Amino acid sequence: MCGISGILRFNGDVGDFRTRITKMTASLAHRGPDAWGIYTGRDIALGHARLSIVDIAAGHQPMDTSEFVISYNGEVYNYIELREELEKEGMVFTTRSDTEVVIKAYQAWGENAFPKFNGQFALLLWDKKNRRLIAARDRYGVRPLFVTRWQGAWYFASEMKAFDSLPGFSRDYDIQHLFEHGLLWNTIGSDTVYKGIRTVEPGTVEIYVNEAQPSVHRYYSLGCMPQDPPVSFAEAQEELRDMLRDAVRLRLRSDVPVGMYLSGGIDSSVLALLTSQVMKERFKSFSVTFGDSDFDESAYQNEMVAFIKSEHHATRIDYDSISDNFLETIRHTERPLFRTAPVPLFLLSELVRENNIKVVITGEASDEILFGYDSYKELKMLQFWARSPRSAIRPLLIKRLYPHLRHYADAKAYGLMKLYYEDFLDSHANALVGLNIRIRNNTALASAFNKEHAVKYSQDDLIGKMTATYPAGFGDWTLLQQNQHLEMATLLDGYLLSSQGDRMSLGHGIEGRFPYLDHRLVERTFSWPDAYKLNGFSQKHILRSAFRGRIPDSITDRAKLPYQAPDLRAFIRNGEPVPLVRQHLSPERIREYGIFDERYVARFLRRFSERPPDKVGYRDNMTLVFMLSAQIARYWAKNPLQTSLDERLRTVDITQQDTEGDHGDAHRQRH
Amino acid sequence: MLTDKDIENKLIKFICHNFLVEPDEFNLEESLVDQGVIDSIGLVEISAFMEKEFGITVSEADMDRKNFGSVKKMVAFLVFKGA
Repeated sequence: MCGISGILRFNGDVGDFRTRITKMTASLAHRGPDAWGIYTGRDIALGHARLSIVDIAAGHQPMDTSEFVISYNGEVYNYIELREELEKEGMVFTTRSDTEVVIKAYQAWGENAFPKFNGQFALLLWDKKNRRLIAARDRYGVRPLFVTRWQGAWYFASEMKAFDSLPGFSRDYDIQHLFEHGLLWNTIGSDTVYKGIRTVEPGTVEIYVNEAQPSVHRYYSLGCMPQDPPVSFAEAQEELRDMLRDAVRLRLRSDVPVGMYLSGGIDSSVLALLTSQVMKERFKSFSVTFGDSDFDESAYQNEMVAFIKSEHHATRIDYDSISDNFLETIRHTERPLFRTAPVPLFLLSELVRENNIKVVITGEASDEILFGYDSYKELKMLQFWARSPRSAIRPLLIKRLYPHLRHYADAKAYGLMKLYYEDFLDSHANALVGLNIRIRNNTALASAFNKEHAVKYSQDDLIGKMTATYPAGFGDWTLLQQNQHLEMATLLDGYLLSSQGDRMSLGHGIEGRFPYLDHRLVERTFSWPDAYKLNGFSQKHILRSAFRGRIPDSITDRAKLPYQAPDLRAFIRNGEPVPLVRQHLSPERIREYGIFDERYVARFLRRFSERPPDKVGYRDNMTLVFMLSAQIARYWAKNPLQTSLDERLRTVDITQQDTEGDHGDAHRQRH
Repeated sequence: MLTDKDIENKLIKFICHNFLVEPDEFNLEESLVDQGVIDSIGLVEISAFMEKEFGITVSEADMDRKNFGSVKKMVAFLVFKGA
């Protein structure tokens, strides 16, 4: 895994290319600590910080061929098969790396190459002949790529902090986008929380030729691959086992040892089983454990470790681990969080690094594709109830929604819960589907913002913006399928894969690999009947059924416990905010940044002197983490860390001297 | 004896203090859930506040939109209950 950066000049002097691209690359060095390189031409500069995993000796980047130069972050797991296909078409290879396969695939097939890739990537590919820059990302947004237009050039980078090194550039919040992020846990489409910074959207290719906006081509959206008719439930279980095994097999392709994350839940336990079957040798597994028993899953982790006989390592998290590492965590996430759960994963990747592992298999996205989230259950309950809204029986399902939450099981409180959900009977089937509840709960964040910004929630505006991004066929899907798309576009992309995924693992130079995001698996499971995935209220039903008896029953049959870490308990001790909170939410700092309302923040913090953290609900937890992380992200944007590169690790330094003739040709082609 | 206005003011004060909103940030005629002022736990808290502050009992049968659908409806409910 790596960090990539690029500059495409279209107008006038943008300073010293070499210095600029080197500084950008230096700010991404944590993503690729093994080597680095730069390429500069007349109008183009590419930078690369490398984490060496495949063809360690020859896979250096930027990789230069006669027609293309590439700076590429990621893995195309089926590169061996693609290489064979390309060799049959007459392509000749000089390395064993997947990077060269990506270049030659584009050379042979153009944009039709991307649907053939099975992997996770973000890339910048300079087409020398046509003088155009191709920027692309994988289907689900595992690897990041940001773009900004600044003083006569387009700038590209894996992380937005690379832009902070540009002279005069200031990474400022777009407050309405920040609020949108607060509502959805992500911004919509290509927006980010910062002014003027876009993300290349997952599943798209963008082509830049000059100062004009790029042409954007989407090569993937959920549900776009035709599928055979669904098979029986028994056959589907067999399909699931086969597809997952193959997804794991491809993701074990590596020239360095691969380890795995073990949470204690069914998703990672299934992957651990399959890894042990495919690898056939002992591997290292890694877990987070918590001092606070409300969050700890070590009993299940240990059970699985004994079952697969891995060499296990765990990092124990207490309240101090969260508060002490929150600042550095936010430097990497670059955007606000809602929970502290990324922090333990940041510390876990450090443990992995200390154990000389660079690649880990991890279980994200099973909850999205197999309906593991509560939003699917809520939606199903509301759909059932809405068919007969006056029924006294149907809403009784509420009691079964969250049996572990006291106020849901309590007979008296049932009436209030019914009242709460009743408000969604009319809206649950609108274009926001399962997001309605999350948005409603998060709208209160509007009160926290500085009144000068006048942030406002308009459901109509949000629906308009969201529906513009929906894939073809969305309207024909079931509500649960629609909800899958929304969960993948918001929580998965904007939080789990980025703030809690890519940024936390690559903060310590560790590459995560996600078998549940093998597109063949995602597409096939998407086509199955809802009841295979959510049967009654049995979440990820088919996964449990397919692996029951193959991993310990205590894991297949356990109730789902969302991965969480202590929030308020880490930040408020004995009614007093810890120093980190006092510093970043101080009246002076709130006033200086102007994001939040000074009175609101002061009142919010005062409440904890009268109410211990254990007695507050989801919303206060979320509000504190959101405000604190938004302030800290702003702090880092204003005070970027100065980083430098180790000259001894420079493996590529190419300066392309364009001739006048080339300029002329290029000019003619552009116009 | 509390007037309707007294009850409303006490309720608004509680909502503002507990859910960190200003009086002009929510509409008294609309659902607090709909306006994003409270979540499901907020309903539990308001109901507990009503019982403690006004000495009434909220039964399961009372918990519907007719009684809890807005601040105005909550006030009417409290008056009906003899607060």
